This record gives sequence, C-alpha cells and structure tokens, in this order.
Amino acid sequence: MKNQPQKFINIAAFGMDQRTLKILEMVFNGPGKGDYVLVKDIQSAQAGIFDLDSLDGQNFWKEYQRLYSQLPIIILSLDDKDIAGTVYVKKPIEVDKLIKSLKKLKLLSEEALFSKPVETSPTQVTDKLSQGPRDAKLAMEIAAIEEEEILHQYCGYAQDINPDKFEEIEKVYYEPSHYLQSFFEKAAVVSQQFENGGILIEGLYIPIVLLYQQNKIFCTCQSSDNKLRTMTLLPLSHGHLRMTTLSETELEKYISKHQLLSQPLDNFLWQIALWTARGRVPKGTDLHKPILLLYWPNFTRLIVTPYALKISALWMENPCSLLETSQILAIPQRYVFTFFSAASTLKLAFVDRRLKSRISSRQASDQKPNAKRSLFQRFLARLRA
Amino acid sequence: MKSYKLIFTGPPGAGKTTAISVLSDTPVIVTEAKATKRDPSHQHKQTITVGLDYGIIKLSSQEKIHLYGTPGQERFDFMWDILTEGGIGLILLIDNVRTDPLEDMRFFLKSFADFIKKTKVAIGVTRMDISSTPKIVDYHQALSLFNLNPPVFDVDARSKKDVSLLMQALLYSLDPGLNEN
Ligand SMILES: Nc1nc2c(ncn2[C@@H]2O[C@H](COP(=O)(O)OP(=O)(O)OP(=O)(O)O)[C@@H](O)[C@H]2O)c(=O)[nH]1
Ligand SMILES: [Mg+2]
Repeated sequence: MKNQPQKFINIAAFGMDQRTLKILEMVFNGPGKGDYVLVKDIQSAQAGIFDLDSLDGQNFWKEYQRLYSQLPIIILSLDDKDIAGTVYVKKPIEVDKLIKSLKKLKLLSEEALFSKPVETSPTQVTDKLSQGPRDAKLAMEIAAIEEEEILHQYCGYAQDINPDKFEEIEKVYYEPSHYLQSFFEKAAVVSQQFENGGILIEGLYIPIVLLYQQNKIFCTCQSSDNKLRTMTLLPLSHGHLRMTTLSETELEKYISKHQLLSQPLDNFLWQIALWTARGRVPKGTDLHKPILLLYWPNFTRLIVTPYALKISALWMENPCSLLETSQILAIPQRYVFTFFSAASTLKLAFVDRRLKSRISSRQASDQKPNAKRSLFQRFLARLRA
Repeated sequence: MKSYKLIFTGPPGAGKTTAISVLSDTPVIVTEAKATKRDPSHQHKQTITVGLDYGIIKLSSQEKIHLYGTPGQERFDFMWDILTEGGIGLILLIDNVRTDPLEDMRFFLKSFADFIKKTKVAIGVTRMDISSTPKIVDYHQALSLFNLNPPVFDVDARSKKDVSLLMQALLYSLDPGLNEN
C-alpha cells in the first residue's frame, strides 16, 4: 500500500518533572504498545508534550510557539487549557485519557506528514484541495476517538464484577445524595407542586430555573457543558446551593433579564444521571431483583448509551435483574448499570422488590432467537452504519 | 433474490412518504395528487398520497427490504390486509398536530391488530415541534389499554437519525438478542 504510515512517532516532552516523565515512559512502552517514542529534542520529533504547570514548561512553550509551532501537541495541566490546535490532558494523568490523546496526536502527525508541501508555492492550494478524502477519513477517526471519550464519561471504564465477592459489589455503587444529581432531583420534586411558577437554583456557576410541570429547565448553558459535567462529579457542598421558588411573573422577569434558554428537563436530568453514574448504580440497588421498565424511553431526544435499545427491548419483554441482563445480552455490566441509573432518575425504571427473578439463568440462555435474526442483524448493521 | 417488506402507516400527513424517502436507497415511487381545499387535514402540505409509497433498502445484491407506505386516507383501507401479508413489522406514524392524535393511534392499532400480534409495532409521533401535546407519556397510557408496550418516540420524519432510531427499536423489539456491531 502507498503512504503506509510509520509504525511509531517520536514525541518530545518539555517541562516535566521526573515523575511525569516516568509515567509517560511507562505509558509509551506499556499500553502505548511502542507506537510512541520519547525523544529529547524537538528537531527529531513529530509531536510534542508540554507540561504547562511548571515554569520550564511555560518557557519552552513560548519558545516553541515562536520557532516551530507546526507539530501536533498535547498540553498537560491541572486546569483546563483550551489552546487552539492542541489536545488537552488533565493532570493527574489518567492512562486511558492519555492513550486516547496520543492516538489523536499520532493521527494528526501522520496527516501533517502527508500534507507537508514540498515547497511553498501556489500549488499548495490545490494540494490542500486534493486532501479531501483523507481529511474526511482523519476527521472521522478523530471523531470516533472523541465519541469514545464521551462514552467513557457516561459509562466509565469499570470491568465486570464478580457478584459473589462482597468487596467487588461495593464498586458498582454510588451515593446520589453526595452529588449535584440529587439536588436537581430534589428541586424537581419541589417544583412538581407548582402549576405555573418554578424553582430557581443559585450557587452553581450559573443560575438554573426548573419547571417540572412544563418539563423545562432554563439556563445559559448547553446540557453538554463541560463545566456542568465537572460540577456533577464533585462532592456536593450543600452550603453553597440555594433553592428559591419563583411566581409566574417573577419567573418571566428573571428569564428575560438573564436571557436564559430552555431545554427539556428530562433530557437534562438524563444527562446529569449518566455523568454521575459513570457505569454504576445508586447505592442500595438490588442487583439480583428484576427491573421493571415502565415504558421505552424517548430515545430520539435522549443520549443513547451503548446497548440501551437492546436492554430496553429485553426489559419490556422480560423483566430480569441487572446482572442477568448483562449475562443474557452478553454485554459489559457498566452499560446496563449506566442505563438503569439514567432511566430510574426519570422514574422509568424500578427494581421490582416483590418478585424473584422470573427467569432462571438456564432459561435465559435458551431465549429463542427470532427466525429472521440474521436478516434483522444485517438490517440493523445497515441502519447503524 | 430474497425480499422482505416493512409497512409504514398512519393518518394523512403524518410523514409516511417523508420517512420512507429518508431511508430508501432509491427515489421513492409515489402516486401523489394535489391536495384539494376540501380536505382540512392536508392544509400543511401540497400533495397527498393516493396509492402506495414504495422505497427500497438494499442489504446486498441478494437481499432487499421493500418499504411500503399506506395511503393515509381511510377510503383505501381495503388494501391493508393484503399489503401486510408476510411483512416483518409496522411503523406507525402519528401527526401530533391533528385534532385527536390518540384516537388516530387507536384507530390504526385496531386496523392492524392482527399484523401487530404476529410481528411488532414502533410508533413515531411527528410534528411535536409544532404541538407538544399529547405528550409521549399520554401515548403510553393509551397503549396500556391495548396491552401493548411498543417504543414511542418523538420523531421528525425529515430526520434520518430519528426514523432510523425508530426502526432500530422495532428490530430490537422483534429480537432483543440482536448485536450492535
Ligand atoms: N414541522 C415538522 N414537519 C414535519 C415533521 N415530520 C414531517 N413533517 C412534514 O410533514 C409533512 C408530511 O408529509 P408526508 O410525508 O407527505 O405525509 P404522508 O403521511 O405521506 O401523507 P399522506 O400520504 O397524504 O397520507 C411533510 O411536509 C414533512 O416535511 C416534524 O416532525 N415537524
Ligand atoms: Mg404520503
């Protein structure tokens, strides 16, 4: 094949302390599978990593921007660094995140190699144009990596647990009351009583107004906002948050004064629940009792996590426990847990404590496939392509 | 060559022709006529379907899914039994702007009851951007009287993503054991 990309890329690192350098080396040689090689000087590098939390790092970065500034770059820092054309990795470094960013870097550097103009001349423009299909491919690959990152935000990385081991069971639980999620849920309950007015939530980085009856939430952010996500991950400090009721007129005034935009409350709560759960279920959820799904979630307007349609179809047909669901459908537990957490936040899914599971695991494996399964499978693949 | 069929139905103007066109690999063959002023249910569109809509999804050179849309007007309902014969499932689209969308749903569920019993149905509620009521939960409540619990999604028939998701939900209802990849 022509233009076979090089197996590994050289990456120069700047401003790191010994510990961080050690981590990089370990990641490069371990999970990086030799795709990345640490080098000392920028001339022999195809990409760079800068730690902007050190004075050295900042100085090197300024110097680099002045002299080179054409390589794909990863920026390491404790706080968000939104620098155009760079990939940001938060410290302390999480290996999976670093690996994803490295993959992105490698793709970008391969692209840079291909598209490097032989000489600076007017033909460069047409060169760029003929890049079309490969640019599209690159964009798609990067989009796929980013999509995966987002999935991890919703479903976490946790491996399946062995339900016979007590210490493993603890890992699947989180305590909603420790997080912002519970505050929103509480506000929703309070707001239920009001036909017209709403609840104003203050003390977050932006004010949020919640109207349960109209299934609306008003704020100045998108529900996919990064800051909001960070807030959902932090332990809740009740001291700062305030809930006030607003009458209908107060509400109108407030919304127009602060120019708040509305979005469906359901979708908002669903998103918050996914971020908070990250592949876990609320503390106390019985993993062995069957799940009752009241009805199919309105998936066209909600974030569809992996296997959510499949899990819904199974539960509508055959209520079974969270652990059985993962077993019967042969899917990782974290996807079942995350979906359950979101659906239960919208009061669509419950653990049915009265019932013992209606199917034994033997029956489960006997679940009859539809006679047209292979056709449906091909049809489905086509729709998902 | 193996071929299968999928049926789209629903009241006039619900988006059957539109939904079939966004999925079909070939231009949809429709028999449309200019909507007349006499029919108030067609105020928002220029044409109505008087015959069947027809589209195709080619899975391979050996395999095709035929997409059939029933004409919306009830005077054509004599064709429905023949049409559904051997079909793999039903997509029911309901226009949320019409006078009584829940009654529309009941009418079509009754008309296609035998077919639904043999296969599955998935319901798309269209034009919810124009009229937000009845809500999706109202549909589920009405459905419980039919002892049915199909997927009901807010669907814009012009959106391929929406129509495709509804179709995927139909397939999973038919067989939850299908794989994602
Ligand atoms: N605003 C809005 N328009 C929609 C939506 N879904 C479909 N439409 C429009 O509604 C109209 C539906 O028309 P058709 O697809 O012809 O409906 P049909 O069910 O085939 O109608 P008949 O064949 O006459 O029964 C089209 O103009 C679509 O663009 C939606 O969710 N919102
Ligand atoms: Mg039509």
